[in-house]
Amino acid sequence: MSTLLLLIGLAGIDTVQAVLDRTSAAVGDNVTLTVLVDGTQARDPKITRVPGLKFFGPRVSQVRQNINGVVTETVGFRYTVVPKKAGRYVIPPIAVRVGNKTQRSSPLELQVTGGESTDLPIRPFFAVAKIDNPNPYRSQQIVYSLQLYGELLNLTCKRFDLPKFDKFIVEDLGQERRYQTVKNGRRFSVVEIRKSLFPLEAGTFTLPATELTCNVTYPSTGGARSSPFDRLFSRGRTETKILRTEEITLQVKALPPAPADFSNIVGRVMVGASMDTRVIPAGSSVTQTLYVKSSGALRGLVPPAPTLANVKIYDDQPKLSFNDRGPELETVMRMNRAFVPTEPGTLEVPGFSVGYFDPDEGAYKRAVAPPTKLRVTPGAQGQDTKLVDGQGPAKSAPAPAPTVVPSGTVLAPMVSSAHLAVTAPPIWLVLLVGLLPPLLLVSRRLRHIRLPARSGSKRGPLRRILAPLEGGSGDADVVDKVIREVLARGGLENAGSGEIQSALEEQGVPPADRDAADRWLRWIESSRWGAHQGAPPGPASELGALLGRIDQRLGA
Amino acid sequence: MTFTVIFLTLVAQNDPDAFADANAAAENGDYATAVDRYEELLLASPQASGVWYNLGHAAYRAEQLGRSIAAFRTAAALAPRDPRIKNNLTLARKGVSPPVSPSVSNPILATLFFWHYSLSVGELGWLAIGCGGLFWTAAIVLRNRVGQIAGILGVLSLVLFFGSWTIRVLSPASIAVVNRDNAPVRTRTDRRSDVRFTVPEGAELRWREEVGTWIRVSHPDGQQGWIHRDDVFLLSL
Repeated sequence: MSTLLLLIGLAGIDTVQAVLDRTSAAVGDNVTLTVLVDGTQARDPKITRVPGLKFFGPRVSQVRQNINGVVTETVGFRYTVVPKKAGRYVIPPIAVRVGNKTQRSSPLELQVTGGESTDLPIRPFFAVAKIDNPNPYRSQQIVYSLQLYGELLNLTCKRFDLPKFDKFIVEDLGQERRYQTVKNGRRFSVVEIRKSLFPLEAGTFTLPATELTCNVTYPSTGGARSSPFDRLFSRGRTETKILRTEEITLQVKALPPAPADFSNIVGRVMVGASMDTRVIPAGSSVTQTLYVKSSGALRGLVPPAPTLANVKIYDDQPKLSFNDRGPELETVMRMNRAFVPTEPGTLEVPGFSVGYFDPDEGAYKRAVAPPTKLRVTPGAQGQDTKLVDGQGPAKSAPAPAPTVVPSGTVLAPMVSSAHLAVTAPPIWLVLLVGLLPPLLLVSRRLRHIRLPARSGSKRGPLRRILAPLEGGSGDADVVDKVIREVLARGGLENAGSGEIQSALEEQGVPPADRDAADRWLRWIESSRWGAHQGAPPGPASELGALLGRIDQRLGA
Repeated sequence: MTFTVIFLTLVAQNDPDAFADANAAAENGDYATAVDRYEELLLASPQASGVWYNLGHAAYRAEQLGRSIAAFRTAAALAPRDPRIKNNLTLARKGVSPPVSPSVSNPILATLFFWHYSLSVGELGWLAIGCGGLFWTAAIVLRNRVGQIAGILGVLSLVLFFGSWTIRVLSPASIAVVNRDNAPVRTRTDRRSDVRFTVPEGAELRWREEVGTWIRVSHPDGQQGWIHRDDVFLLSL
């Protein structure tokens, strides 16, 4: 190939060169078409459509080569060509616009042989579709698997359409599975998609082939021995491949004549029933849980409601769940049924049975859940109810015990009251009541917190404040003024005696000083408002010393 | 049609005759008329839980599943412990096919802050007022140790209830109830954009934002997309 490039570079005759990596292939094979164009001004090649051949791409790369001082720049376009039919094909000249000129390559020939060219296990990638039972009964579950095998490569299939399973009920069987397996001594990575199919009719059916468009990424080889073409496209080669599975034919057998209790389930069946209690008072409800587990389709299955005297029965909606992690789909149906016995005594709650067809044994069978005995005790009048059923008692008859039924089973009646609960209070009222107390508390707290700050601004020489006491004045007004001035230095000028005591306590004033202060305050109060102005609690000098200590604490 | 419940309005008095007329229409089997009359009543008194309840009942009978679930959910928000509302909401939800389980509160949070989840906005408001009253009573009348404790309890309770009330009022749960079957939820706010998924009538989605006539919703399974406003009832509960 390097020779080819050299020729292109030196001669400068053919500026467009198209090459197939082989001249013969089988249907479904991937043939690589490479178009090389000299210069960097090339636009995408125009490839004439060839019926029977499918083109994917291109991937574009550029390479610059310096050979004996001659520099060439080449643009490469790589296509994957997949033959759809056998025959001899001619790919017409490929036109490429280079600058202002249109250049054309030579035509190419490709011989395609019919059928898949290789045996599946020999190929490094292939797709297989299969079913686990080609001869099922009608309604019996079969598992359809689509498997993609890839050996030492990354296989991504972006587009594929599973066959239309027209005569089948189709359920997904789990998520896409990925695992590794060994075939003929070679290790393959496998991607598997599974579906559960339930044939709706007897007869012969063909599941059509599935065609998958996949990207295959080969690991990069690189190395000195790689050709210029490999160097051109050397980042882990990716090719588009079309994979096809084989058609699948299956013969669905009809079921033998069915008995009357056949519930249209074909497969293994387990049934069960449980009660949430065995002893209940009359008028109360007991819940029976019924369940059916089967590999067959359970949609539409509803256990028939029994008829019991003096018992009200309420059926819940059956609920289906699917277990899709096993080798086949398992469907579980659960249904709650409430029984409300109205008379005391012994009550036998019947079980239930499901008639089904066992495909392994080819015979009809019955799965039976046994009955359960309940003891019904006399019910209490006026017991709590979950729900009233809307049937009011007759006026002349004694009121029956309220009926209790499972919540969400029967529509409760309408009401005649427009309000069933308290209405919301006005927003301003909630805001007023909600915000005011905390704000008040906070403001009070802030007031205490602000004490040192406020006292700082009012602090001046204490001696000046205490000066009126130096003359030994026992006048209550003078003493009051002095005390107030000292307290004002702590922000307590307007506080009551109780608040002053609390504040002094908070500031760590000793009890003896607090008591002394209290005595002086009481003396001032009695002197100002009382009938008699008694003797002061102590000499003015003692008061001065006391106020000095208090001032020290307030200022701390 | 879209209706939004706003709890901040004062309660308007119901017209008892109009309510009785609507009830009579429902009892006569004329559920469509009853639905219209209940909705007219609710324009005047959006906090009337009984009217919401009867609207849900009539809509259920009229086979308007989305409207019914929206009305029962609103009634349940106004009267959260009424067993009839719970029952009928459960029953209506069973009609959603395929079923879409509505989002539920975190059980740990619901246990720790039980009052927040089990009381209506109205009840929280009245409790906040009651606790405020306790505080003032303690502050004014009981000026002793007992009063101090009562005041502290009153303030603490007030903070809890008032906090819950504030959260519920300022940040209500935003629900979009789908009002038609197989309503498309799209990738963009454009009817020509791709359908990300479809939702059945009655499905309860989380309403995230509103852009023009489009609502960004999230499915309980985590998927998100845009649904047209005509396809949902928007609730702020």
